[in-house]
Amino acid sequence: MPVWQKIYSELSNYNFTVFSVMEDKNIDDARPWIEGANAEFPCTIDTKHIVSDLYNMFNVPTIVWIDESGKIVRPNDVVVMNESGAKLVKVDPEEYIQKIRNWVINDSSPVSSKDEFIKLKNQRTPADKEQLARAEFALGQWLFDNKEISLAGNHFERATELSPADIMIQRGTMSMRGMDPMKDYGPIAGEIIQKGFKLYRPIRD
Amino acid sequence: MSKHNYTVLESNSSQEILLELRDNNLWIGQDDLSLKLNWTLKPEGLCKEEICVPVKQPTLLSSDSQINLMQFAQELNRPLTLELNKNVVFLGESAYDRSVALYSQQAPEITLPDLDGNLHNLSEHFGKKLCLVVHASW
Repeated sequence: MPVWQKIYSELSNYNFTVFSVMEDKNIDDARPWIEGANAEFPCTIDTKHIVSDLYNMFNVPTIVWIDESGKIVRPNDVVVMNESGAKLVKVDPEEYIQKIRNWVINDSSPVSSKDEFIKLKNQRTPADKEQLARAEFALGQWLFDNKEISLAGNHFERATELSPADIMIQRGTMSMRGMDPMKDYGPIAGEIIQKGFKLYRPIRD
Repeated sequence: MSKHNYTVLESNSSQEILLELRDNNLWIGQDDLSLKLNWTLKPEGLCKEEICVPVKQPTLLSSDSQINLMQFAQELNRPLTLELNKNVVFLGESAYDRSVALYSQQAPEITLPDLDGNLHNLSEHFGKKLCLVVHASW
């Protein structure tokens, strides 16, 4: 997030802004990140994963580029701004920031291909099973909020079975399933990769 | 057969609706379907405002003045999940509707609170180039 504030500081004079969403069940989990960033752009909290449903997102961080007319011009992309994360997703943050700069200042194309079909191909759309998983997640969350922890757990399990590579669900529900999203994520991520799924899907230009 | 109040959840709403559990299906009154879920069964299909979706299995969908809520979800390709221990139903959004919206390339509206509870709309910032950054503490 501090890096996004730096990008904002550099480019806000060029008619550019950032809109941040944290998908956290507890506002207090998001609080230190937001307070630490001292951001001048909106920093919102999405406790119900509304945005990942609307935009078909499966993991964090996910970046969407939107043009002046409100059109998605570079859908669901990935960049991690720290060194270890950058290695993991194989996207160089400096190159990525340069790409944003070129788009904002020089109005260069947000994706290398001008072909409309290729641009649309970058936009993944959800499968029926993935939407059912999101419904199970939402029902589980309602049950959790109504103190039905064990019933909620059943629906979270079902959601993860339906859509194993939905990390928003896998990892985002861990704190509600008596698991630790830091310590307990590694083995689960390993299983997901073994099943042949990708954890991150950056756009390769 | 007895009717009970169920909590019917959609992505933006939570309503109490009288439903009947019969033959392993949940039935909703046609009046409630119109009044609460904003869909009406007409000769041309299931209709909401000016949109009508032709019904594939009419005999499964309606019986007397009731609509089979599970079949209703199937007709619209919407995911439906339920927890009968708590009389709660969640009616999600169809993969098809989501796909049509995303292929239009128009960024879906987002309205969310910040730490102080102030609401922010994504569309307030249209007119600028924008990076929507979605992350989490975990």
